[in-house]
Amino acid sequence: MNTPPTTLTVPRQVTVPTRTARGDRTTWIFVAALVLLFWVPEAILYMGWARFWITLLAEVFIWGLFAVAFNLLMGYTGMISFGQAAYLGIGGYTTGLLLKKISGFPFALGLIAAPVSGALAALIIGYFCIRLTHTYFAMLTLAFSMIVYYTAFKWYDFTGGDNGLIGIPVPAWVQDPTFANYYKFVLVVTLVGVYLLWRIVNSPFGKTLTAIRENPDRAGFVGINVKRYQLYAFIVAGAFSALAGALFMINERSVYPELAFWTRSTQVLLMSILGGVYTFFGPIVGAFMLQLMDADITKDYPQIWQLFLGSMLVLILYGLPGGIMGFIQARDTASTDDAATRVRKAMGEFSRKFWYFFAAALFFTAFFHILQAPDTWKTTVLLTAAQAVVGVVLCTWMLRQLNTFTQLWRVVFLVFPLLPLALHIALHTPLSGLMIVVLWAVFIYNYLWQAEIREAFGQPQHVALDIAPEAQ
Amino acid sequence: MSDFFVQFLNGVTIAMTIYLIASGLSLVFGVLGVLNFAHGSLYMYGSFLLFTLMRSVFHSPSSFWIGLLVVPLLVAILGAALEMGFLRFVYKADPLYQLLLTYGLVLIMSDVVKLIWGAENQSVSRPPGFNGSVAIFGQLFPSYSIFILLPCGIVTMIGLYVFLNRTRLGRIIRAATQDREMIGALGINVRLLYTGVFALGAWLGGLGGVIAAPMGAIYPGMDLDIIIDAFIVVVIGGLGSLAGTVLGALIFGLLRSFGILFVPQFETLFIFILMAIVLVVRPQGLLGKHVTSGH
Repeated sequence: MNTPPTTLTVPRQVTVPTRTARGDRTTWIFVAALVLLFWVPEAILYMGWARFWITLLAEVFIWGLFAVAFNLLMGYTGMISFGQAAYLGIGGYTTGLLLKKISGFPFALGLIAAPVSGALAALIIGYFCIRLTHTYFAMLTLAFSMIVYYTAFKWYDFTGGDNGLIGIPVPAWVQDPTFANYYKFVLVVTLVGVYLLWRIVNSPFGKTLTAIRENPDRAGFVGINVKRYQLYAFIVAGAFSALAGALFMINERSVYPELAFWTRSTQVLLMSILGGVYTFFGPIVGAFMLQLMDADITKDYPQIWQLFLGSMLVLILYGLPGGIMGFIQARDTASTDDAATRVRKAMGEFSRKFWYFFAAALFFTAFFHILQAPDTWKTTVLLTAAQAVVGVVLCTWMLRQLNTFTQLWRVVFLVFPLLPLALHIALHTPLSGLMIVVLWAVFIYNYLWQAEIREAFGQPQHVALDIAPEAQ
Repeated sequence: MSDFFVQFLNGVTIAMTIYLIASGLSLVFGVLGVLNFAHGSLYMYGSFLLFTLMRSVFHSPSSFWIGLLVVPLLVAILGAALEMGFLRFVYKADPLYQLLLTYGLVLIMSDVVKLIWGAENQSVSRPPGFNGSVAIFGQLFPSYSIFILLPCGIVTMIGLYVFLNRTRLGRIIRAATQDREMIGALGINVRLLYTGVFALGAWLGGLGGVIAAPMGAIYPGMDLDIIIDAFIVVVIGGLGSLAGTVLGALIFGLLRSFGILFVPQFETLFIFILMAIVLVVRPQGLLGKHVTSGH
């Protein structure tokens, strides 16, 4: 017991590979992605799948661009905006109004006008917003986005009010019946946008933004004009969001005020958090997953979509603050605890948060099952109760064993998520239900794959037990 | 003159309804530092619980009075459960993550409402004796607003003031808005205090839901409609300041009622512009204390 816990040799920080070295390779990844994704509509049509998937993917790309632009603010600069949808609206209405009101207006110019007006609006709005921080910043961005929303909603003479702006002329080549051209157009525009954003975050400018996120005061001390850089980030995010807004307009050939409504702002927030705000591609993954789950659930069970979404959000905020893509990244490097204390804390947290995922997985399995077969709900409830009892006993025992720091149990836990996953597949839980289990798995890997915990399990058992004596 | 008075009274009526909701939001923010998105949901649950109580349990309009006593307590219990089950674990996190957590609760609670009560609009009748109107300056006003809504709002206002300024517990709560760590060091059970304050905030939200229910429709989605209005009120008045909430509610109500008179299309727009101006010029709100870091 008296062995000092510092016998543990653990790196103080997990090193994150620098991105600059991979910069050039990424350009080729973008080109490869473009070439591969370009032929997806043909593949879908050839396989005889529904055209719905083509439009779904196109929407994922637009949301992805929007989310990456938004994440330049949230993840890279550390400013959480609750009104990013304002620029969607500004972009959509700029292009829409230009094409609609001026006959023969060139389509390309109309599209370029969107990011320009988005940047201008962001310059004006950002000028006021960057003076505030945290909740106040969020509230002011919300206020501005509502101003944009209500202006579009009420100004019938100009924007068409709540009837929207309909029948916007769009070149014939973007609207083919299979949506393949529309898809390809959106793909090219969004990939170019995302690539530009990639270059921006990996430039010295982007590194400066990250420095501001980490510590605005210190960034100021080394001579960075913090407010000015925040304003630049705000403008860039606004411009690319507006581009996404213009793209949303093209498919429906109409713009509605809902484009700028605040729930869109929270939706993009959800995507970023789901995918991981501290990674560049996380928000795109988040956008893909959210749109896919949305399509999957709302097809059969629209009544529980928000319930599901809210549960996902709560689970992620508790168990995976880094999002799905963020699980390899270092956690809490600012902590001043020594290695042993961090292991102890992480294990305690793991045991506690584990139950949230357990409960969510059990609940949604039962819920989807009841929705699929409402007549046998009594059996389902009984079965779930039995599963709960067995699961609680089993998991309590396993968590206890894990805290003995025997290597075997760490391996058991890393394999464990396969069990509920198999169970869900056997029970025909919809795709989105499986996501909860996937989150659970990512959560477990996130914790048990951390450097400190890996090291702790590698120690002889008596050393490990000294680290966490009360963990038993 | 009478026109002016009519609009003034209308404005005050709007102000009282929104005050009941915003005061709980402001109180919770002041003490816990969490801007509670789910406050609108608690308000919605207040309305729906009253609906169940009047329609399914007692089958009589006069059971409104029972609801007025019971429903806010039920909502307070729900609030305490939410605090103990979710919010308790994230006080150390970034305040905006807390805001997002409460947004997750909004999403969950809004679907639970639809699963329990259905997606249709519901309504409850006014308590007997308050169905008619009263004439003031020759203008008819619903007697419900004059004799129930206004007194309830004023009593709550005075009650909160007395509670926070004249009782020991109230002083502890006010101390908690100033320095949370210090009152913990002084031996106050901060965990219990937080749960209590959150429950009190929920109680106010539930009360708002009960009072507002007989005046309009009860529907899923009323949570989102009200919460943005409540945000405006507390931001204008000052986040965490109860006197500010009163002022914010009055400005909100009067701007609404007079806005309809003068700029019928853009009254909502003006409210948001006012909110933006207040945030730019005086971020802590009209009566708020200086902005502390971390919020």
